[in-house]
Amino acid sequence: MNTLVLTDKAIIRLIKENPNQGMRQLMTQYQDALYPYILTYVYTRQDAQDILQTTFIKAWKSIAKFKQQSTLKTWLYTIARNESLTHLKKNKRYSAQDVTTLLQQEQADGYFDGDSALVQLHAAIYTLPQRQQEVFSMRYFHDMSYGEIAEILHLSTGALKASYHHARKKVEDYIRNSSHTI
Amino acid sequence: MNKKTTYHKSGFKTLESSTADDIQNAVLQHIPEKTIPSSQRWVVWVGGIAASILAIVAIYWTNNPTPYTETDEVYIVEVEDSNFGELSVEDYIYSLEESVEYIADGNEEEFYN
Repeated sequence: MNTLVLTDKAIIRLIKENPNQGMRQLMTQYQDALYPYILTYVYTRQDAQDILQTTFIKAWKSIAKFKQQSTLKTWLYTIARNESLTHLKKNKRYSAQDVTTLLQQEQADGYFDGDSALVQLHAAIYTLPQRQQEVFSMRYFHDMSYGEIAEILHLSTGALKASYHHARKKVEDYIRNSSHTI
Repeated sequence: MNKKTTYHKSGFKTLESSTADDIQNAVLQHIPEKTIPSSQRWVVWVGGIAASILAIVAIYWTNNPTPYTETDEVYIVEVEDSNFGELSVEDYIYSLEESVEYIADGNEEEFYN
């Protein structure tokens, strides 16, 4: 089934006129992008689904304050990011080994499809400092532009480029290290 | 027809449609069916303000009942089983004062019998 894609303005207008229909449109349009984005923070389906739900509820509660100075996409990613980080603060942080185990488990259940290199890449990303982890993930997995990442993380594009450069080097070093093979 | 399983670039399986529906329905429980059109919002504002004023007046009246004034009509106080019958407030008070004086003069026993 093809999903009707509306512009930000059209979605916001629809939400004002018919909140139910408008929010359904917003969710349908963005859920497929937000879900894997949240997963790259929390790595478990149930947590990611809970955070996705909270993200949309928070979006509804603050949509009246959305001034359209950013796009709906980056605004929603910002909410999802905040919710994911709040979740991570409340819960025990994984180790790279935990991430590997989680992904292998998800793979066995059919919820993760990747070879050992992809599992290793996730584990490598997880060893990075928070900002580098986010920048690398947004660039590599979610194909975001530096401009979009800058809006979400409130950083200059110069700082983001530096972060991405360092992150890529560290990931390469991690993968090159034979002791981290799966 | 079998649904094709799709995976995101990160390797994670994309959101299943049944799960997506559950999430959407859970979110929609927090959202009203319809909002009041902006052209009708003034009705709500005016109604709300009028109701607030009425509530304030009602509370004020409850706490500050209209005091008795000389010009008001005389209250009729019915005193059952008394010797006074129907008296005006002034007469009733006058009678009480007289009774008190009468008792004070040492006629208590006689008064009650």
